[in-house]
Amino acid sequence: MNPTTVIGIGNPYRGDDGAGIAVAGRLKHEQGLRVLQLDGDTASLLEALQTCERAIVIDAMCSGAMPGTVRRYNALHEPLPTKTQASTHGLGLAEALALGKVFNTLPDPLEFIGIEGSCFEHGAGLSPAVLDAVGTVTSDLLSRLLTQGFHRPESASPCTSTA
Amino acid sequence: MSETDPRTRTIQVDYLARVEGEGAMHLRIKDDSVEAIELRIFEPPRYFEALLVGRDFREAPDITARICGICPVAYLMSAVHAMEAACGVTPEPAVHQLRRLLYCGEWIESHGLHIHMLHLPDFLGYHDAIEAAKDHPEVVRRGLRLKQAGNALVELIGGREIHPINVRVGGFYRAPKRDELLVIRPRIEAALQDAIETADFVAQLPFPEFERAYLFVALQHPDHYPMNLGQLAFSDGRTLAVERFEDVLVETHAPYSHALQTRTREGQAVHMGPLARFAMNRDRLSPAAQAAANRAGLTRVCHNPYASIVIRAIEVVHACETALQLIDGYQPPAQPAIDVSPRAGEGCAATEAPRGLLYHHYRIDDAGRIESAQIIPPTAVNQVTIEEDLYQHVAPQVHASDEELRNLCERAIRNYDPCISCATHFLDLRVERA
Repeated sequence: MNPTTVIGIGNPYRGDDGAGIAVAGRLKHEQGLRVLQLDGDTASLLEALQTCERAIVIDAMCSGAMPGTVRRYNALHEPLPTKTQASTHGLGLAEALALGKVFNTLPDPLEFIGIEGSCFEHGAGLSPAVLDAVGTVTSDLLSRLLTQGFHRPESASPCTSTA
Repeated sequence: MSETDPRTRTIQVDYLARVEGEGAMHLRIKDDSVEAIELRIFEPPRYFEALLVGRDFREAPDITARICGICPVAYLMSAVHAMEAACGVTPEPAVHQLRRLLYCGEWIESHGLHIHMLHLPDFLGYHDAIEAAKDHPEVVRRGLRLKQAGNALVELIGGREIHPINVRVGGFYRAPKRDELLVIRPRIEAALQDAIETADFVAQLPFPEFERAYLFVALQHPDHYPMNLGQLAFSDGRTLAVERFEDVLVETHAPYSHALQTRTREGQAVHMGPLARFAMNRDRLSPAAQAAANRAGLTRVCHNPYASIVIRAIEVVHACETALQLIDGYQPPAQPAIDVSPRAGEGCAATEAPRGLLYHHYRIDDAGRIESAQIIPPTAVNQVTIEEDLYQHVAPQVHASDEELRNLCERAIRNYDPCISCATHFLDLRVERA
């Protein structure tokens, strides 16, 4: 089993907010890789992170950048943009990770990948720029995770479906 | 007055980007008195009601459950009860008990989150839950444990923790076996202890002195502290069948808000939520919850909205203890759901979402197609009451700075756990001073 857990966060019924979920959806059938899809609930995310040796968290961002822009952060040492996705009545991802730091329960390393969204309206489906970014992030993760001793079976075709 | 007028100060609050839930408030002060307070609540668009028209009656629960990520069970429950009323069917008692158990999970998770992550920092003097966690890690951890226990219960019965998929008109797609429910018992038992500690802890908080003579509205049931069932009860002594909701409470569209505002036909604002439920049902709380209320000194109707944090905590005790009773007495229903055949007609129902009474009203045709849908969420009903609270808070403080006013108003709004209070700074406050 690859030591890295991939966690996609978001709400697939709110347009581009489903970007992180979509990346995780494309990776979840890869053998030997632990992939979680979460809605961003603070308690669930912190509980999940406690079980990870290392983790990569992917979520939609709303920072004003060009839609589809991908940003990577070392989540343990860099401040995250506060305008990441945040589910109803919950705290945002940045706040959840800040709580994890206070409790000292975060995995190390912990990477955050943000995908800039443009449409967060009700309804399923990603906008074209975000769909492209989801493909890029998925490919990048696969190649990076392969170098960590993770071997994707030849028969798998991870990039042919959306979550 | 335009926004470029030098006498108008416009403050943009750097609130978190929320996919749902933002609030804005327009405060107009003239000659040292409050001329207007307008609270704008951007709720999920009303097009959910339009979306439902033409759909099959069996789809209403799952569609409306998408309106809110934190109280989907409330939407599921109000929808199934309304549709069952329209079709003239009543599921067996075992189904009702399973529904109550599911609702307990939602109360535990929703209240657990609001108490610890959103409301508590106000009382402890912190900017947010992260600051509070540095000095009170065990308190915040307890809140997260409660949230997770509630999530786990919803997931066990609902199939998923966020948007449960196991609920249907007539019952459930699948009823858990007794052994499956027993698995979660130790976790709920631990949650009950956490809830009791929480209730005792929040009862000692310093509460601002603020009381108003609210008109409370909540469900009332002869046997239960209400979740799914009951009649409408008003604190002025009136009780009515839920079918008469719209005879007594009327919706009007405020020009500055997406939300419809609800008042009594006589024009009075009403207050829904924990204070209202407690006022009308205190005697039907579970024994441990009654004991917690006694220790908190809540022996009568509470008119201080800041004390809602205590009543929420007491309701978490009640939900945990009730969940344990339901698990212990659980016998799976003979069949997880009864067959429901549509008939032309109307049905309405109200259930108690964590933040107050949620009313659904549908009209369907003889093929089961939805002809009309009306959903009145508690945040829309409480909006007028919140504005009145805000007026009382702001009127004596008109000379305070905009920052002070914003903090004061956010705190007052947070008492109601409305569908906008997620962010630390959720309020886009605009102050006009002339």
